[in-house]
Amino acid sequence: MKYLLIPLFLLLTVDCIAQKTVADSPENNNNNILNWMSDNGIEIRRAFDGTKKEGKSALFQYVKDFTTDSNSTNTLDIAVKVKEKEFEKLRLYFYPVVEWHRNIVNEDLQNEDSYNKISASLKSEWAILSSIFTPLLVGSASIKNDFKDDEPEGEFKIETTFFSIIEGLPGSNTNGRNNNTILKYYPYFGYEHYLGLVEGIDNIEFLKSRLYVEFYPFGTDAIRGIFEYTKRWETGGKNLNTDSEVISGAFNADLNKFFSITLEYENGELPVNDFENSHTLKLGLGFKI
Amino acid sequence: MNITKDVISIISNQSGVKVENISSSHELKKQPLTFDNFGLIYLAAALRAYVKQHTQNAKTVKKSEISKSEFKVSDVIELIKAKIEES
Repeated sequence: MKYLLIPLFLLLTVDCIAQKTVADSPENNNNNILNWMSDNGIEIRRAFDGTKKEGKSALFQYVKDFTTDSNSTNTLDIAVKVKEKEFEKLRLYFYPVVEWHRNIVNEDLQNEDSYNKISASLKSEWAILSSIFTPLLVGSASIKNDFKDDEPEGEFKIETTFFSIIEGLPGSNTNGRNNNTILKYYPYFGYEHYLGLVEGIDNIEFLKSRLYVEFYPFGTDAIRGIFEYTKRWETGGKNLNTDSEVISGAFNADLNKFFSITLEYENGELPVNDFENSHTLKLGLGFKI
Repeated sequence: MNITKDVISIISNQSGVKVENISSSHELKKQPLTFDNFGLIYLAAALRAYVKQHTQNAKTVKKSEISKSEFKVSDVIELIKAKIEES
């Protein structure tokens, strides 16, 4: 129950700070703390992994787990991106990210579905060409610790996708009748290497492909849907004897500029669950800068 | 050279929204423009090329300059005008 109070307290506090600051300088909305963070390149999301989690941040989620038929009200996901280093002529970007992902089932960290992971990453994005259709490379190197078993892990990922301004191609806005965007998508192809940093922890490598679709069913920013399908083919390391497959979808409804309600469905073998199958429905309060 | 018209034309070209449907009060990251992270990289590149074309000592345009919260079409126009007029 106490985890219900944390986001509500934050919601009230941040709103009060924002309102007070704006009230102090009504002519300048940019004077509030949250806009200052945004203007200085500090962003808060659920994750910065190029997945649907990057779109919204959930501080807290109520989780219905269909795999174990259990309910958990103890989930926290937060990622903070610090100002990026920009090599604008090369269209190359680097930025550090610190993330905390926690899911303690039934107040028990030792439960097999529980995790409590903190990670530090260096991420990069490179737009290879400046033409109207171009490949992009997205990479990251991370070190993370799961406090469930206190075993540090490394992670290296590189993905390529495509961007175009031609309607219908990846990255472009597909516009509806009222000229508002209703659809945008990206296909990704890449390689992932999960690295055990202590003796006895297995390495595992995957080739992966991913389809990310973002849609605005009502042509408004306030309600947004995301669908994602990820397929991983194990190419080395620990033998899971199965390829990993994840289907997920999410709906976000904005409460105000910074807060939203998120309903999210996930089914498949997720890296955060050590590629064990999980099947969950999550209702969350999101916070985004 | 009409900077306002040219910048709106660039934003239209990059977003797929017709010029007549773009207002100076539209925010880059919101409807109908909905520039995402990758879109902002390319918008910055297009604006950089425009500024380079019209200045002697090529002023740059960074993605971080147009990624600020609530950054509007009018802010982009002011930014580009300032860069061209400064040079």
